[in-house]
Amino acid sequence: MAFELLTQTIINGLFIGFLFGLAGMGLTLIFGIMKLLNFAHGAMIMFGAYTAFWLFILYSMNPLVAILIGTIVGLVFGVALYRTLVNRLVRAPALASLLALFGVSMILENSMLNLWSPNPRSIPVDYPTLSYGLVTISGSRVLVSIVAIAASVLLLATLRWTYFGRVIRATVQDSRAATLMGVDVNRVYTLGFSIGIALTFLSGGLLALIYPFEPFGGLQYALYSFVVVVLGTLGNPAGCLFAGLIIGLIHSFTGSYWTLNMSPAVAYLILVLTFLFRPGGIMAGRE
Amino acid sequence: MQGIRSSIGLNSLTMSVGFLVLIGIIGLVSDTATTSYLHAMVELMILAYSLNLFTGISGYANFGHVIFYGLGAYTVSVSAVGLNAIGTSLPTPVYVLGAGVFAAVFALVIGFPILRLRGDYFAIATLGINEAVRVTICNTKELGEGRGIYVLGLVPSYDIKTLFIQLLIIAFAVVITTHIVLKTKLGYGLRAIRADEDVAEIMGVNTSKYKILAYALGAFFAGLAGGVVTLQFACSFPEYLLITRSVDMFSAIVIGGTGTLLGPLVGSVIFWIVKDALLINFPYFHLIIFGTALILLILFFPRGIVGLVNKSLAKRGKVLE
Amino acid sequence: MSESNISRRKYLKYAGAAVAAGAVAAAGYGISQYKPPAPTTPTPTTPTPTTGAKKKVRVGGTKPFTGPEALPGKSEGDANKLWAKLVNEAGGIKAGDGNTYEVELILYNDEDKPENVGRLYEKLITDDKVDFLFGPVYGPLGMATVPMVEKYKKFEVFGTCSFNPKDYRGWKYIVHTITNGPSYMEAILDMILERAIPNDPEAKNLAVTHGDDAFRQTAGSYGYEYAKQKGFNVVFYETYHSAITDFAPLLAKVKAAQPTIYLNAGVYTDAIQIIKQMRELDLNVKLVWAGTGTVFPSFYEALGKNAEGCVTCTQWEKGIVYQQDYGLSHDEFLAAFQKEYGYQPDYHAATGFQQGLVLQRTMEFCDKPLDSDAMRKVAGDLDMTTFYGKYKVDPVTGWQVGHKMGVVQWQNAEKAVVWPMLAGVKPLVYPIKKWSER
Repeated sequence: MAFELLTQTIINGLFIGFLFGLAGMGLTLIFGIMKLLNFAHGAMIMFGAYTAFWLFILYSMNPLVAILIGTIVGLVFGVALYRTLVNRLVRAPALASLLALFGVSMILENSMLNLWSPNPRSIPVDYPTLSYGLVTISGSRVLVSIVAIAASVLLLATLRWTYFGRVIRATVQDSRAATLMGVDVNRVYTLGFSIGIALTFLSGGLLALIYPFEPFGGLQYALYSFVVVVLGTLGNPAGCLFAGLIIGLIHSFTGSYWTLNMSPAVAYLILVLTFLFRPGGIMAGRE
Repeated sequence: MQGIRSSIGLNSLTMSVGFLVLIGIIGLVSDTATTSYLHAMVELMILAYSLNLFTGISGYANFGHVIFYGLGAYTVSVSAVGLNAIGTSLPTPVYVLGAGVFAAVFALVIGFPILRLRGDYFAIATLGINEAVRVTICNTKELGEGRGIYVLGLVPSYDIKTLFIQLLIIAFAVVITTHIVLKTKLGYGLRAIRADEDVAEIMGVNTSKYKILAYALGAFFAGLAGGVVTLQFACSFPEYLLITRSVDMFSAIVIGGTGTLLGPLVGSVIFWIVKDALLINFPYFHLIIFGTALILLILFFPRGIVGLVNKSLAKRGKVLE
Repeated sequence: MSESNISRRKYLKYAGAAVAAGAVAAAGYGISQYKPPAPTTPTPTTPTPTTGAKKKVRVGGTKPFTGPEALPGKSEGDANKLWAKLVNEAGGIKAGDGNTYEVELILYNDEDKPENVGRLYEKLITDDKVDFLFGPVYGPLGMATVPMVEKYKKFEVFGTCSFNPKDYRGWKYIVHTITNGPSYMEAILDMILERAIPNDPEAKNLAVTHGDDAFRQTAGSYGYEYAKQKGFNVVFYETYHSAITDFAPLLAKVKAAQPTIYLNAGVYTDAIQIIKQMRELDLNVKLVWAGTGTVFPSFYEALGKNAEGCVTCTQWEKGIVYQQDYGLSHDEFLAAFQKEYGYQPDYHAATGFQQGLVLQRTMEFCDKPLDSDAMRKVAGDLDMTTFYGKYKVDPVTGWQVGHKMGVVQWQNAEKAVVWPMLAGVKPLVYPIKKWSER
């Protein structure tokens, strides 16, 4: 029995960890490329969830297709947002740009409230569940985890092995040198930002499959995303994935063996402790 | 750069203090609705100034500043209930001071570990601590868990004018403290840290000492304001520690101009007037309008109103603090 | 920063225009706050014995129209407004002093934040000069209004905010309409005792969990005590942090404890989430209460067939037909609300309407209908049954003691009333289907 609880705890932790990791990816990518902390992250996750939800409801498409289309919507939204607002923020002082993004978040949340009412929504799909005694593996979680892993791996592979990825990494390292080498930094920023937003929308869509959401529900996810991103070292997508798993497991273990009440507190405590010993996050000092 | 001085000795300190005196008089002579309007404005001002002491001047983004406010509030209610249980009570100013002191001590305790972090890591750590403290309070029976602690009858009965005076005193204190900080080594040290911490360290600035001092000082004033709010509502509950309040304070100092003497004042006045007017007149849309206004303000005045004024003053060789 | 002089000038021009516009707007609003209080329609503070004269009663309150509590805020606010509208259409309140009072309702958005409460209630009381107040939606915010209400002596009717008797500290001007937090779970437990246990003695094995905010904690912890008192066997009891979004660890433990019935004192999002994750973890029980959010249509929309069989206690629900001795009937309320707003009222809306009815009835019996002390006394002694259920409070504390919760269960995409055992009560589906059998 105790062994089964342990197994279930680990499985739960991993599943939620993959999603946390993906949720943080967009955030860490944007930060890595542009040194901008997206304070509208929570609202955008919600917006991504709503997009997938409405596509599913209105056009009766397969939820995964809806989520994928939602991701593309996120890409377009990211480009639009960058062109109109964010490109100016890159040059503004740090504190100011954070607030501007918070303003975006306010606008998004209020709009979602007025358009779609405060009722919590969820994508009502049923995937089969596998049971082994007391241990259950939920189909929807498996699906979410697979997509999350695939997206993360795709991103990491792109960054490491494609020309485009190298360009991004060069810009991150030294944008002036990159310009000298013929890189259009502005274009890199545009694409980087929109890919980050697309990933955020993707995590929102996946979230809609397994959690209910409402217009103002983004804050909690944003907080966890920040913790994951910082734990995994800001700007490091691989670190973000590991950190996501760590936080997922912490959440799960705290819930199973202590009380679910204190999971957020324990997660933050782990974060602060990590900083004491590794101030830059777990991947500090590595590429 | 000379601090701006005109023939009537007008400088930032005079302006801030003068403004406080002005709204103090208005608040005391008008009806209680106006007083409570100004009371809320001054409360935001105090919080903005207290945040400014550390974040504004040194550039370290502290997103968890509201915990000091909340802890101050809880200090008052816990002390009131505790002392009542053993049959005594203390005069109100002692409660409020206690709130400030506790907040400052707490800041000292958590400051040591987290002030070793830089920039964005520090910011997220403060967020984390904020939430961790709030969650812990929500789960502690002695602290009223999610319901809060109620002290009606243990604190003086509600009188907005008295509360307003108390806040004004704290406001004067924080403005003068800010002025002193800016003019002394602490202020210069913090500004050096803002410019480049490593260089400051090399130049002999004791960065850790200054950072923790400013952090605790800011916490002290936020704690005082928190103490007063328990007196106002005769209760403390976890919603006092919501992160959205930290964002409000932040907006106030960014709009006004970080690290300046007038910045938090200007910023919180504008923020409060606009936010309140929108909330009352457009209850369903106020966030959209406010968010847009915030974005526009940031785009046009990234260094805040005071920064903008400084740009034109700079041509005349003067600076508005 | 390498901006050319020309663009900087243009920049400053636009900036200047924005500043000017903003300053004018801000100044305008600022000035509007400082003007002396507007002369109100003459409302006598002591009733003048002119019979038949049309007077005004001003009622004020705040609701969270935005923010995470926007759902109940909108419902309750809409119902308050509907009540005011219907009363005025019927000619006003015919008060105990012989005059007829037209209702003027003022509602502000408090965003569910304490810093707004102080400012807004002062405004309502001092600036807008309201006679009476409707309380806010969130419990602690309601408590934050108490010092002001006591100081200015304003009679206040609380709606959805719920309390813990342990926190009572002598306030005198408040009455409650809802069954308070501590008694929330009594209805479900009583229902299980009467309808489930006779057929299935196992039904006394319960798992109880709840969130840690003001309401959920009160409802859950008192429910736990009541369950033990009534002889239930609580095999698992734990709490979770209210903002949490993933319950897998908790549910794993619940599953291990093997309860027959699972009761969770939750609200909206967590209710949906718990059912979803119960399905994922294949946690089967014979009956489940996931949270008060079960009562909303969106619960069923979000969960589809997995919502079948879910029960919840509710202050009120369509289908709980009380025989009212005052005010409109169950059917009339439904029809009026649907007609006005185009959606079915939930229990928050019913509570909002009840706030109005309580005020109205009190004024009808009160010979000094604008005097808060007199009104509070009358409200303290009032005993009536409306479409919402019974209203009777403790005259000293204002706690609602008459109203009892109902229990509904989702059956075939409809909410069936399974408690109290009034005429028209439906059979209880017990046990509910296993997840795999749906």
